[in-house]
Amino acid sequence: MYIVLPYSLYKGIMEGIVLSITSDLIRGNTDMIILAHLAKKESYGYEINKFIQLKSKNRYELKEATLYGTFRRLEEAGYVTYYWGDETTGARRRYYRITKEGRRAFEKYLSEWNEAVSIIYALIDENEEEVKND
Amino acid sequence: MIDKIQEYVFKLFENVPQTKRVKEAREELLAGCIDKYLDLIKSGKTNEEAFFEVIAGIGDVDELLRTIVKMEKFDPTIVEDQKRKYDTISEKVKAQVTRDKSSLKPAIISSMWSFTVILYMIISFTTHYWHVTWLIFVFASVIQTVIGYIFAPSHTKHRHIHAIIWTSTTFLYFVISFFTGRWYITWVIFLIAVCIQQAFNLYVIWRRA
Repeated sequence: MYIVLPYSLYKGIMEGIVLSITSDLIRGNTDMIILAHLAKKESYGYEINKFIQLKSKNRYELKEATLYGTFRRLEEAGYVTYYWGDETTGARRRYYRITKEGRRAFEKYLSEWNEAVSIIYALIDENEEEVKND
Repeated sequence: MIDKIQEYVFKLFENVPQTKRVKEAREELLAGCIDKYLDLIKSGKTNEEAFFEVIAGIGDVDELLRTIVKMEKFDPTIVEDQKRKYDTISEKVKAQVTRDKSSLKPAIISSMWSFTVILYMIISFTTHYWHVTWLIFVFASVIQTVIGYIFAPSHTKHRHIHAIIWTSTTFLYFVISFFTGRWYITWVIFLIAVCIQQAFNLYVIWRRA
């Protein structure tokens, strides 16, 4: 019993870490994900979240508060502007439009992301090392 | 049901100054919730199911408010008085964060106890000193009071000192008694502990004066 208990504890902790790496990684790139969507078309909160849900096949969904907090930060940085919709049912939607600076930031973001991914792959991929040795 | 969502969202923004930014965020959040609710109904959810799913998806509104508070702080049009109100809010937010940190304490304590049980078994089975190895549990309670002291906010720390004095006295009493075998006199340690405790009380009073 006193061998099993610490093992299951350890396993639980490790699973928690692995899960949180995925969601932390995605959450850390929320800005890029939202800018990517806005680069294609003007949009509003729910539509963007729906898009994220569909594209990720229901594996990821942003909390509303996180989404709107991100919009505020992008707005502050001058990457997006907004205008109000004319919905009459209760509350108006806030539509977002990407700015020139926003596009530039997104392109920079994207190239940095690709760079980081290629470095990480190079560092963890065992096959690549074997190729070099041949 | 949309009325209920509206009521819920308004409640979330109730305790902050109603500035333009706060009202806008509230309207945006409400619009998002209504969009989601109608979408869920369309996909065949019942009113109640849709309502709870919408509420669960809102997430940490404090985080959103913190972002807004930061933006308002840099806004020169906000009057001093309102800035002060925001400062008290961010104080509250900070207090919340420290409270979250203290959730580490039960985790440490529970893992310390399971570790103690394992150690007890290992030591007892290898040395066969079953008549004294149980003292490890008394020692673990000393550790627990020390952990309590470490995590206590500074104004309640002196209370934890008392706990440390009594648990360690009990531990010392058993250890000394078992090693010397002089049970007829070792109980005096408790009298000494009372003296130490009173001396500590005097010290606390003297510090405050």
